[in-house]
Amino acid sequence: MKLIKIAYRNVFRNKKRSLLSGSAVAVGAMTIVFLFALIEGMRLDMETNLVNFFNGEIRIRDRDYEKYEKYNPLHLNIIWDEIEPFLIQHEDIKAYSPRVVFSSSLYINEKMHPAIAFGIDFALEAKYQKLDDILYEGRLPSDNENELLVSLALAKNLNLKIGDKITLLSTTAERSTNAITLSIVGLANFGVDSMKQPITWLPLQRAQHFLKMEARVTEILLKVNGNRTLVTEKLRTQLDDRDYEIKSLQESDIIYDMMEMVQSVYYMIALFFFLLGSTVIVNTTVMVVYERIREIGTLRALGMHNRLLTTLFLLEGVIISSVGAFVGVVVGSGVSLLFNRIGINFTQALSGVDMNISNIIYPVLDLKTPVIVFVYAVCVSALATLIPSTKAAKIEVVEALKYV
Amino acid sequence: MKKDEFIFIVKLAFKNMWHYKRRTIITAASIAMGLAMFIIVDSLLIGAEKESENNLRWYETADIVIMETSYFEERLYKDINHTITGSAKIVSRLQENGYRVAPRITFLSEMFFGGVDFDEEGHIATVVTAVKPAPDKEVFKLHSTIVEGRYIEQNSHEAVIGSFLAEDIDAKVGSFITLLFQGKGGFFELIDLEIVGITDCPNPNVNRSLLIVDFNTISDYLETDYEAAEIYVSLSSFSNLNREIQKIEKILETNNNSLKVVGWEELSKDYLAIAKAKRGGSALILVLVFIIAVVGVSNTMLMAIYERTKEVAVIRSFGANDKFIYILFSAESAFVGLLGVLIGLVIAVSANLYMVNIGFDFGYMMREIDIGYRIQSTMHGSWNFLSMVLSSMFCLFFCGLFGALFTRRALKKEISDALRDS
Amino acid sequence: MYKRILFFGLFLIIISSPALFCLTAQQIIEKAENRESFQSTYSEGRIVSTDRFGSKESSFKSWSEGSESALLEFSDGQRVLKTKNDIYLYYPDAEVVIRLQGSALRQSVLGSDLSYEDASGFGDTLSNYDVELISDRLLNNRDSYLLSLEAKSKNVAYPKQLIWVDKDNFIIMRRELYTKSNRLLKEIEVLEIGSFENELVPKVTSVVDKLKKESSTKMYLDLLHLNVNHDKSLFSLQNLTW
Repeated sequence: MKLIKIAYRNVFRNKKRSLLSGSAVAVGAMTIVFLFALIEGMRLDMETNLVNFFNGEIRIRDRDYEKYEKYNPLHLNIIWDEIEPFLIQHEDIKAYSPRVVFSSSLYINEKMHPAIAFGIDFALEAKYQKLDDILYEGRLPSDNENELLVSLALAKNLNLKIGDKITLLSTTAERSTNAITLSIVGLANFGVDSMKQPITWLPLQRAQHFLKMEARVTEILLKVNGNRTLVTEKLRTQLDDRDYEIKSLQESDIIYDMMEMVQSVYYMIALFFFLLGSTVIVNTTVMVVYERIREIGTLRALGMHNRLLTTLFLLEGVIISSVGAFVGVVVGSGVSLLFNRIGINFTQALSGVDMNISNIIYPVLDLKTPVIVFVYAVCVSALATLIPSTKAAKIEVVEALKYV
Repeated sequence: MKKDEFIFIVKLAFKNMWHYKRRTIITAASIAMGLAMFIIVDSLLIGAEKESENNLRWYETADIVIMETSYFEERLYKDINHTITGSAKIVSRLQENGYRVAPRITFLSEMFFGGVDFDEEGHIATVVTAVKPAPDKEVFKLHSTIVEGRYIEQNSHEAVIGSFLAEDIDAKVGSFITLLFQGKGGFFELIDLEIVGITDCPNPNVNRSLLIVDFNTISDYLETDYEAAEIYVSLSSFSNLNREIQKIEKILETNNNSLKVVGWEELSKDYLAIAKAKRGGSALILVLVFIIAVVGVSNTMLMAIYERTKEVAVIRSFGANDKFIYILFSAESAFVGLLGVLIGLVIAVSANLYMVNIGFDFGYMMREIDIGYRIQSTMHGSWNFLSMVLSSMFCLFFCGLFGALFTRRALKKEISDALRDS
Repeated sequence: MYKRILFFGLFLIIISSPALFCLTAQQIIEKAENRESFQSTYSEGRIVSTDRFGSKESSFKSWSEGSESALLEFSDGQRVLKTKNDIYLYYPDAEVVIRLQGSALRQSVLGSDLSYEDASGFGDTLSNYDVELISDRLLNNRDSYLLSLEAKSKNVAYPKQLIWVDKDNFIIMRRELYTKSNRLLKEIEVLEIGSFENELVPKVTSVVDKLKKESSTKMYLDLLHLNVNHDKSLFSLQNLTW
């Protein structure tokens, strides 16, 4: 259409103006894309934490464990040897982490200090999650050795260092007590919680020996391929439901509620940004139209229809905003991808936090976001062009020409 | 330039502003939006932090705590053998000096529940907090978070329990529980208590573990001679924490040297560490808002000013000198900026009024997972006057600067060139 | 440890003399405590503890010297050493010996209803309690003295006790442990008396924590040797860890 050509030319004729308007759209689009990537990164970080450290995507426990959870019921356990072959060959299960979780006391300087302990099979755990990421200092314990990892919070509070030996006391599965001495070989970051909680990880086999649990575990965390809910259902029918409690992440309502809450907060913030970005776009576009009222008058004086006029302006608006949105989205995506690689370290700028926790967020770009933002930006600009230009088109030609 | 001329130009700028209403309004609107957004987001982020802090101070730590030094060092173990001798005297002394004071004793016990009141029978280790109802209400706000039943009465065998704990053991108002604990010296004692109230406060930490009993009653059982283990003090919101700590230390110095006066910040180091980390995230968000705001404002202003290159040329062709133009356009930008700032402030303040007093309710609870931020279901804004003033001033300055800069640009052009642009 | 019931020293000669009918509370206590202590013994037995989750049995070996020193070894390798003022725990997998003090002494042994402190002995009654003879009572068809004990200081774990002392053999057949406000905390009862090397000793004893539902512990004495010659070093820390 000829109109498009005119629109095109108009855009390039007034480079400065187009640039201003376009850049506003670009910046708006860019920040929104980045923000969404950031939010998704934060959400993912939280979910990853939960999946890796507490719940897995699906968790298998003894049927009655939850009911007596406050009593640390080690005897309500799962026979690992029985279930392992089933898990290994299951096509939907990507990785699994058998664990013994128990509350313990650390006997240091003749005082007892509470700690939550996890018996972890480090060889299997390496396939379950990236263990190097959690290690802050030192190395991972070797399976079958009397070694353990402690959380940074624990190390800090009790002045523990790598190489220290500590004695762990706990009630065993036989409801007697036992103690074991282990050496600290590493300090680790066990997810968000570990900033506050005293947590230790020791080799599963040692925990089982210490707690008199033979080849048993209190829970198994799973990572699956495909839809979690479907796989959960499948597992429930395949495994004997009478013995096990199988829950997916969504069903652990406590945990999920929290995630949902935090997500709501993030989305609210995103909405703010959307609004802000939109106002910028609207503002500049409207401004453009009004600056060109004289042009409008001239064109109308030359015989152009209102509708044609508005369409022309609309087209111009769309062209500018498309380019602007495109640039913005591309830059925003680029920045997101960049930080996805290197991560944003929130604690770098803060001095005085002597714990050196690295809370690194990796923005995550999904394919929908750039597209949605692009479409949205163009639509908003189009609307922002349309309304004032329609209004402007209705002004008396004489008035328009007089407008300065 | 004479004063009169200056005033004339400024008045002209003002009139110009009103003359080109649309342009002015649009520019002012973008400034207003930018400023308002910034202030609102800042308010929410600080509000969240403040709320978290309030949750700590209103329900857990108050502002200042006084303990025996030996008790403080081992405060995790809550050893009632280290109560503060002469607590009553200390309390009255501080009250004479105008402080709100609440003595408390906390100790570990095993809580037994069962019988007809409960579905299941069992026991759970609990930390018990013994308070004197009257002074406690002045220092803490727990009593205002009661959702079922009522607060305990003095000298009663009653207990108030946090909602999460109540849920854990399936307790209701009217249920009876039994506490097994050791008194001062080590002897075993049991006490039966009736749960008269359930609290649901925004601090999940408290909800998860709170059990409140009467100070006098428990002191009889503990045989601690009515001495407190912890004396809490709350300050008015505008006090300086460190100064007050020093003041209190002075007041008590004549009394006892083995006391430790601690501010809430020292008591909650873990909270602070996390708050600091989260602040980084907030800062990032603010930066993003700032970018958008700046771009929005500058673009609009650029557009406005740019479009008036012609105007500049016309005025120049009529003989106005550069200075004239500078002042004119800078003043106009400043006025528009001022208008924008004012509108922005109105928007921000109204929004803030809503957010501070009503807030956003999320309706979700945080239970088992403690992410360090003591916050629950409603997000409130906060009043940060310094931040508001600073950002407003920055805005004004920015606008004026822009006006000046681009007038300069406009002035550089040849009049004829400028007139030709349309 | 519960070995206090396993100790006994002098033979008690039951004399039907007028003096008997005028035994004071203190005398009764003295007789009862005397028969339990001041001997070197070796014994073997079992502890069966039951709670809401089921029953569990452990066997033990015990060496004691007087009322102050005792060494206990459980079937799982855990060892407990009691000296005059302390209790030490040894676990095979631990490289340190755990010393129990203060409130830790009130933890339960092997998850039973007995705490370490309970097991260390209720000896030294007269210095900790004021005793009063209440009356004669029949307990399980046997004549016994019912005495009430009230703690002299706040440092005593159980402010009040009621004990039934058998008139024949001066074994404390039953012990009820109370708080100051007369709330019953624990019940210890001798269910069966046995004879070892011509001595009458409690063979089966039950301990019940009255606060915990379905919770009870039974101790069985299977073997007892008296007047054993113990090596002094048996009750040392070094020996504990060996």
